[in-house]
Amino acid sequence: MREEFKEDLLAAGVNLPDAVERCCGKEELFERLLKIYFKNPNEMTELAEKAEGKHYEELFSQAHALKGAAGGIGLTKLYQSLCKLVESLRSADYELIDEEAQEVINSFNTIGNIVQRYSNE
Amino acid sequence: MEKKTKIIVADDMEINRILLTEMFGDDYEVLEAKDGKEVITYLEQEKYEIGVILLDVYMPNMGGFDVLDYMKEKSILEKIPVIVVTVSNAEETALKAYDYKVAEIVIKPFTTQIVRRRVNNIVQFYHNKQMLELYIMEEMEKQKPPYRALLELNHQLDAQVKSVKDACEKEQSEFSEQIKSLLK
Repeated sequence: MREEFKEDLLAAGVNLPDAVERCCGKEELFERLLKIYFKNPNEMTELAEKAEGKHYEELFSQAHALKGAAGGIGLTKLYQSLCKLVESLRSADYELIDEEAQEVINSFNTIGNIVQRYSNE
Repeated sequence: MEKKTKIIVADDMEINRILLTEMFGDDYEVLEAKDGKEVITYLEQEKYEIGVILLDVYMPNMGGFDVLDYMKEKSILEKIPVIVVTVSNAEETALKAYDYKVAEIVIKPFTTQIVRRRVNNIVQFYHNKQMLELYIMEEMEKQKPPYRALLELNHQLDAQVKSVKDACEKEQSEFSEQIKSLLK
């Protein structure tokens, strides 16, 4: 992994040492998994539509899957945002869903844009 | 070369499957399944010769609990250990999984070294258990010949007792006939 890539990820709240550790200490595996995680360009559009349309069951499924994988590869900040959203949906507390969904989108896009930038180089 | 033990990694998220395959690929032959249906296909294909199943709970088409239902119905839950992999804050899921008597529950996100140890321990434990069962079966098999000989001896004794009894009855019958004829 390029040093600038690593620095940008750290600045975006990725716990890089922990993330690499989770990937059996292999930076190239972490990079590969990052690309897979952010490969769907419509991921957040879909999430936003589900939140706006109050399709909470579908929103839960998507957020739940994203949460598991985010935690697995050490995307700590994004994982924490997803935890809040998933827990609200699980307990059917919809008051802050829009804000929580937006927090997920912001966090996802921040890292996604970095990954996209370095993938294209 | 020693044949690697097969393990099934079942998760709908490609990332999780890759991660687990990377973790266990050196020590085991990893079979990846993206839903419960694929798990069952592997189980049937491999004739249930699986070292462990790492099973995600939420998967499309067929989830983890459906797989556990299938294994319970086929009575293979005690032969193949299942490690349920689930996300945090899901106590209900964990308790339900324990009701199936799964070997272990791993909470995501997990620490790779701990999961590796747990999987290795469980595979080793079930292997030892199988070896012990095999040993007991063999020992019981060895015990069979004397047991059979005793049974045979018992049959012979029964037959001899019966023949003596028959002879006595015959003699008694002849004796009473003789008495009857003398009294006439």
